[in-house]
Amino acid sequence: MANAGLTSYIEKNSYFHKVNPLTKLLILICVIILSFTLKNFIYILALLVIIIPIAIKSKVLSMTFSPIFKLYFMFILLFFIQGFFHPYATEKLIDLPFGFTLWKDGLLYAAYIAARIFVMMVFGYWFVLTTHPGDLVSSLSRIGLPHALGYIILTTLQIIPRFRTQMQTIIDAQRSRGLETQGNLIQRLKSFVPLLGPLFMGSVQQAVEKSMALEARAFSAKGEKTSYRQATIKTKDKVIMVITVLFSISWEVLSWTL
Amino acid sequence: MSIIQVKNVSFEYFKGVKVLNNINFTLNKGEVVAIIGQNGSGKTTLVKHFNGLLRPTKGEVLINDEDAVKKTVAQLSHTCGYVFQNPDDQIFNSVVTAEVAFGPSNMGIKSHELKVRVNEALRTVGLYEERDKHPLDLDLNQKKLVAIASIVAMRPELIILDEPTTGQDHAGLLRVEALINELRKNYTVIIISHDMNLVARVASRVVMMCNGEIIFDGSPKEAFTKNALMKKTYLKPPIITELAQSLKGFKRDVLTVDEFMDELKTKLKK
Repeated sequence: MANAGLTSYIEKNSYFHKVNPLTKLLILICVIILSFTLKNFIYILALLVIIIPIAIKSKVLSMTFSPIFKLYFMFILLFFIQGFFHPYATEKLIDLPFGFTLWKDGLLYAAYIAARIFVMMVFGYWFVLTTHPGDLVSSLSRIGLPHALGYIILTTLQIIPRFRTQMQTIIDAQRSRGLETQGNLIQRLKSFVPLLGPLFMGSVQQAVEKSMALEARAFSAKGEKTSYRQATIKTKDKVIMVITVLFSISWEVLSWTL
Repeated sequence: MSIIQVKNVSFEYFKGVKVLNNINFTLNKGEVVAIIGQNGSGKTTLVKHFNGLLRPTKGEVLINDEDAVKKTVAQLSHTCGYVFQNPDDQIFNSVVTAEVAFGPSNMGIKSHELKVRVNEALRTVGLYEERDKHPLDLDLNQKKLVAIASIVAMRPELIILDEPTTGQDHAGLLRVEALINELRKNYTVIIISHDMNLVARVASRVVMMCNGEIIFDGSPKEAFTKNALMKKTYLKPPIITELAQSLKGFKRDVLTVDEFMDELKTKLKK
């Protein structure tokens, strides 16, 4: 579990860990474009068939799908809201008492949205798990990304795991003072202020200190910047890129012609 | 009378990585116990078992002869008050009194009694004059004292201070030491510290940890003469102890300057 806690990245010796970040980014971008443009949610979900072998080859299969299980409630809510209250629904599925109607097109719409989120999340998480943030940023700066923007990407990738560990400390500290963080909804809402207060104050303080520490190390110096981590584009990267683009185009065409 | 009994406790954060290994430990009422050891030796992990923040992978923890597993952290906090290392992790109120009142109000303490407890706790830590200030306007020393007061106001039987002296200036150190001496009158105290001078001056018992095991449990005088063990855990006795140990014919368990001077005087008389 090297690096765990710093970012979501997991250090493993796998085929896809060694693939250039830009190649993986291209896969991710293609998936995002596909999930917005494919005709039918079945075509979107079919993309999962591809991620499974990729995730196995990357040795992060269970991790790749883990965020989905944490968000199952969101998906249930999505189907519930769209199924009952879709504004442009025309096709009834079932009439329920109290004037509620379950709409077929509402459910289809929910399935479309859910499939989109599902696929983007799985691919996105796979990308984060297998890509060292340093490699990503250095490859991006090589193709012209401004240095400051690269740093923003880097810190964004680090911030969620950092928040998570800090949140855990704060939760522990407040529970030690008798705060109940579990229980019914009201109890949970009540426990929000004692938890978010220190988190927010801490982040502001850290942001100020971090910016000063950056400046102290010549972050805004002009001229060329170099980077410690270097990821090169190899032949296999080119092959994967070509396959990705060709597949995406043909899958897109297929979904609209069939 | 024992408050805490730890029986054969092992703990793993991840499967196969033992952070605590078969710990046996009994804490008696009225003791001031210092838990020492290098970073990552399991000190904080051990004390987090006392108020239920962590549950043992193996073995059991008894709090006042009752199994801690059956109680929530909130329930255990009535007995074991744990002051975290960094006060910024817990301060969220805009007035010191409100911050200190948070713990007891979670326990359901009502208005008058609540005020009495908050004021008393603030007096104990010496922050009564600062009671209407914003906690974030206080300096680090004082913020730390607010954190301690917020536990004292809960009136637990045991108060655990995790690294009470890190980042403190000399005035802060003296204040913490005086505070511990004040607390020991009414509470059982555990301190986790790297400050051996503090340990030498306040602890009635020292528990030395290394790689998740207790390698020594006894008086400070005895602890600081175990040079091999101290070396193993990368700890150094107080300088005055080292000085005495390097002098021929001196007692090896001198802990304070006063003791050293007494020893010196008797030697000079001879």
